[in-house]
Amino acid sequence: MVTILITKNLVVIGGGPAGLAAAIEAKKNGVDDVLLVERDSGLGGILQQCIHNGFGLHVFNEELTGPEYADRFITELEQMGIEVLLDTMIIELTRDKKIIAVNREKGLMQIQANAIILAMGCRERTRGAINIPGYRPAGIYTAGTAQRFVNIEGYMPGKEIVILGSGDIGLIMARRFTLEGAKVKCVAEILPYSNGLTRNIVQCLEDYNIPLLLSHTVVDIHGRYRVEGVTIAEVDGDLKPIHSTEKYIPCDTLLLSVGLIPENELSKMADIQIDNLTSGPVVNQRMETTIPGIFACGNVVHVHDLVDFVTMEAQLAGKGAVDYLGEKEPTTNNISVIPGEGVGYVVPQLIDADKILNKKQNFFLRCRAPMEKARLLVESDKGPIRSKVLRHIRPSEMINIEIKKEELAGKDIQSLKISLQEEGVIEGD
Amino acid sequence: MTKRVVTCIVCPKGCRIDVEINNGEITSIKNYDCKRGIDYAKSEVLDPRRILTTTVKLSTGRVLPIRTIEPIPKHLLKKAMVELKDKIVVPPVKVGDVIAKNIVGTGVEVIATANAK
Repeated sequence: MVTILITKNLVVIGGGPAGLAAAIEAKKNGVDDVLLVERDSGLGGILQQCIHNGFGLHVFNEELTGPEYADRFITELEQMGIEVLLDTMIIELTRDKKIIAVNREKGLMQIQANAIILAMGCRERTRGAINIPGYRPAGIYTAGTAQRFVNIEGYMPGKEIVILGSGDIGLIMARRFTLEGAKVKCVAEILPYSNGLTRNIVQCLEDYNIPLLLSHTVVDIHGRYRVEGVTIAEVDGDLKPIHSTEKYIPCDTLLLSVGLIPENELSKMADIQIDNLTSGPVVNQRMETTIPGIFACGNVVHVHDLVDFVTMEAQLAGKGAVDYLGEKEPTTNNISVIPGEGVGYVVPQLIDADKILNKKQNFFLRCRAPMEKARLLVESDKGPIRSKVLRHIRPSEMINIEIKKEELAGKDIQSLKISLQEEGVIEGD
Repeated sequence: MTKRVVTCIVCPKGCRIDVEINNGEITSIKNYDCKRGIDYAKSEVLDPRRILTTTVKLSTGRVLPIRTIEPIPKHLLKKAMVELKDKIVVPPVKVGDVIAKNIVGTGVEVIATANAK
């Protein structure tokens, strides 16, 4: 039975980079009554185990590690006196912004909020999601779990490692294991191109001569109690394994770095519309979901490759919540944003052009396939808005395009289409 | 004259920079998007360096993340790991506290990147 009833102006769900930046931004812009709820025993989210460098180049103009990046925000949050509930799990969220939370000290709590920011992040796809046949021995980990073992708990999960999937965490862990003395035999990627950032291919694989086997996958796992080896095979154009190319690789550990899924159980409970392309909530120009007053930011909306963009998105959500709490008229979301040819997804999916914050709107998108040279086109139902040439684009690297408010507002635009068309590369160009 | 393509790792853009080298000296650098790319390409060809990020043991059981404050020569990364292998740090430690000085004789300091109580 719920015995504790709390009311809050703004509740932020999740204390990772998105939640931290959103809470700070809302408080800075005048919301006093902010509560941040985190299920782990500390703040910072996944950044705490991302001990490698490369964070903060856009936000701080310097290169930090994950824990250092998190620490800047945690320090600011503490100095601002923002209320935090740690070790607290939210188990229910309703569309009228009622939250049921639980922790070991207080038991069940009911929190009624005026506005909510969802910042639950994402989780890793596991073996079950990719259906690898074979035994189910010990020694199969997702890359992020292995990262937690090594970087936080101080345990090495194995000595001879095969990595399936070229996601960034897998690449980072290939280097980490090598530095700690393990042998990383190869990284197998089913697609003909890598899923990680180019810089990670260079500094995590090439630096240590770890082979990246493109168009390869694991077709069998051997070992009854502990992984003894895996069979890998090349795949054809339809991603089907070619039997004649099967090869046995002895190893004691298989790491999976096969993608991330936004964690939206709470969003679905609150009847928030989910975009099938991102697996995250449909959001508008200020990161507001289809339920007015419930906002979302960071990896819960779409999986980012850079934390800096998570921070910027979260700041927008924080400002958006402030706007919502002070406004009299509801938003109208009059423009729908459509991913056109060559585009995997676009965020935001809806725009109320009159309520664009900061006089500009950023669109985040991913291409469907790598292109050496592509033309990015932004067109509305009233005519073209932007045309720009991009180079070396790949699905693993998010594209960010900025459109000015006056290009969208007051023109009675109904829809906006963003597309990417491959252009011929001229030698010496 | 030799030609090399250096993939810049300063930011995620990953510019592929064309470098021409003649008798151990760089004669041309092309196809970079920003100035940081020039510095990176130079250093990558003449003296490749990396920031080392790793962990050391805490006397309380878990591990503490650390990093070199500046990049160190790439070929010394493994040596630096060995040098840090048996180090045990006693909390409390704050972000930025110096954990080791002059790592593998490079003159570079190693700092804590997280707090430990």
